[in-house]
Amino acid sequence: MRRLAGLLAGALFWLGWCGPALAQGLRVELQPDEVRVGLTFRGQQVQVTGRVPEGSDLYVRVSSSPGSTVSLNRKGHIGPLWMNVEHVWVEGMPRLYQVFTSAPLARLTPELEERVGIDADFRQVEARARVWQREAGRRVPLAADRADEYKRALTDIYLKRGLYAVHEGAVRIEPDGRFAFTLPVPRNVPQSDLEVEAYAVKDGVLVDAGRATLQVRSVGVVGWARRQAAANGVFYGIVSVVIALVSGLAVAMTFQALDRLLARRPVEARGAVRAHTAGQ
Amino acid sequence: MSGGPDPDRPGVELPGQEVESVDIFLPVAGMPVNVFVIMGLGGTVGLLSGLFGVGGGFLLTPLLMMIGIPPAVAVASDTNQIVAASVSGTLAHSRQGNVDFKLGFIILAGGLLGGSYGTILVNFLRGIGNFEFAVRVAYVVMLLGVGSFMFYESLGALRKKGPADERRPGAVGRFLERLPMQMYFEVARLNCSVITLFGLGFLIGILAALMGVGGGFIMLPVMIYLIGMPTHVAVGTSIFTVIFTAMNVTIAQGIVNHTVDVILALLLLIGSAVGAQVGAKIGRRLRGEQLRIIFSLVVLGVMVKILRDLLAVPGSLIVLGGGH
Repeated sequence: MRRLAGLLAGALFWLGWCGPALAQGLRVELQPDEVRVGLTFRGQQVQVTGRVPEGSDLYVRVSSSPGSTVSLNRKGHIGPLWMNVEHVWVEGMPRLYQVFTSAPLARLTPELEERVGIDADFRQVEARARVWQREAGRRVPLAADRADEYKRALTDIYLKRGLYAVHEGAVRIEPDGRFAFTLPVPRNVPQSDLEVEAYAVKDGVLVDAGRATLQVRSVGVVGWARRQAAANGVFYGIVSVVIALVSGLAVAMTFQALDRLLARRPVEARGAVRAHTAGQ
Repeated sequence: MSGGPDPDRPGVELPGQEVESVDIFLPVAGMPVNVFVIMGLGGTVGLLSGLFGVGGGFLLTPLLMMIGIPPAVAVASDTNQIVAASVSGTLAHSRQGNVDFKLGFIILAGGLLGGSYGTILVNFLRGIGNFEFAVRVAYVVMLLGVGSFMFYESLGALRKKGPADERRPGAVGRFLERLPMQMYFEVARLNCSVITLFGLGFLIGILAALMGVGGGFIMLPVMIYLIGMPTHVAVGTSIFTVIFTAMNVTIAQGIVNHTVDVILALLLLIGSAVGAQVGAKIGRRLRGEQLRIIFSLVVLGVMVKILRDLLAVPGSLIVLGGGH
C-alpha cells in the first residue's frame, strides 16, 4: 500500500515537473527511439530532430524520472578523525539531466527559466528536490540552507559522472526551421525512460513546445538480473549463492585435475626412459 | 587500474572513439567495467583468502568503490564472490588435510547465534549515537593489538630453534583446557571444550556484526592463540566457516537491499576462486611462523589503511551513502 502511494506521489510529481501549460505543437523525433541496455552496452548516440517556428531559438531538456531517492553522507571530524556525521536522503532530483540549446542560456529571462525548468547551473532542478533525514524513526525535512548544500553536492557528483551537462549551442537550426542535434546517452544512463522536452523561444517569449520519450530498456541477462534482483530477492539471492558455489567447486576440481596431470607426467616420463633403456 | 571505468569520466562513447572490447555492462551496478580489471581484483583477494582463510571484503569493497561501483552494490557482490573463493579454498585446504570440519561446525553454530545478537546490539548502539566512530576506533585498536602481537610472536618463533608451530598455552589457554564437555578433534589434533568453541564462535559473530566484516581477521588469531590450533589447520578451518557466513549475508543482501550484482560477482569469483587455489598452494610451502608473520603484516597494513582513512581530510565532505 505504501509502495502504491509512493508510486502515485511519484507520478503526480513527474506530471508536475513535466511541461508548462502550453500547446505542444513542436514535433520532436528520436532516432532510434529506444536504447537497449545489454551486456555489451557502452553508451549510444541518439539523433534528435524536428522543426521550430522560423526565427526561434531552441532549448531542450533531457531528464530521467525524478522519482528515485538517493542517500548522502556528510563527513565531519570528531577530534582528529574524519567520520560520517550526518546521513540524509534526497528525492525529486533526476539522475540524468542534460540541456541542449541553439542559443546562449543567458538569453532566457528568469521567468522563462522557471517556466521551462532550464538554466545554466541546475538551480531549477535543485529547486524541485527535497532533502530529509530520520529523527526518532520519522522523516524530518532539512532547513532550506542545509538542504541546498546537499542538493549542490549531488549535482556536482552527477556532473562529474557525465549525467548532468549543459551543451550550449549544440542544436543546429536550418533557415527553414529544421533542427537537429546528437544526444549522447551515457554508458551509466539510469534504467528508466528519458523525457526529451523542447521549447522554442522567440524574442524572449515561449512560442512552442514539444516532447518525446526515449525508452531505455534492459535486455537479455541484464534485464533478467535487474528484474529478479528487484522483484524476487530470495530467489535471486539463492541463485547468486548457487552460482558462486558451483563456480568455486568447478575451479577447485579443475585445479585438482591439473595437479593429478602434472603429478602423473614425471612418472610417465621416467617409465618411458626405463622402457627405452631396457629395450637397448 | 587504468582499464577500469572512471566514475568521474563522462560516460559516453564518442564517434571514432576506440571501443574497449573487454568491457561488460553490470545490470545492478548500472555501468560497464573492464572484465580483466575485475577478475584481477578478485584474483588478488582470492590469494589472501587461500593463504590466510580470510574473506577479503575489507580490501575488495574499497577497491570496487574506487573504480566507480556504487557502495551498496560493492558490499553485496563482494560477499557473493567470497562464497566461491571460500569453497575453492576449503577444497584446496581439505585435500591437504587442513580443515577440521567438526571444529569448524561448532564455531560456526556459535557464530550464527552471535551474529544475530550482534545485529540487535548494533541497533541498540546506533540509538546511543557515535556508533560508527566507536566501532572504527575499536577496530583500529584491535587490529593494532592482534597484528603487533602476532608479528612479535612469530618473529620470536622463527628465531628459536625447535619444532615448528608449537606454542605453550597461556593463562587463558590453561583456563579453557579445564572447561567441561571436552572433545577430541582429529584433524586439529587437540582436546577442546565444546563450550569454548561455541563461545568463541559467538564472540566472533558479535564482533563481525559490529565491525561489518566477515570475521576472518578475528577468527584466525583466536584459533591459533586461544584454542592452540596449528596455523595451517586454523587457516583451512577458518576459510570453511567463511563459506556459511558469506552465504548467509549474500541471501540477506538479496532480500533486503536488492544490491547483489550477479555479473560483477561472477567476474570477481572466477578470479578469486583461482586466486584461492594459488594461495593455498603458496601457503603449503610456508612454515606456520612464516604464514603468521605475513598475516600479521597484512593485519597491520589494514590497520594503517583504516587509520589513514580516518585521519586524511576527505576530498569531498558530502558523498554518496550506502557503503560500510
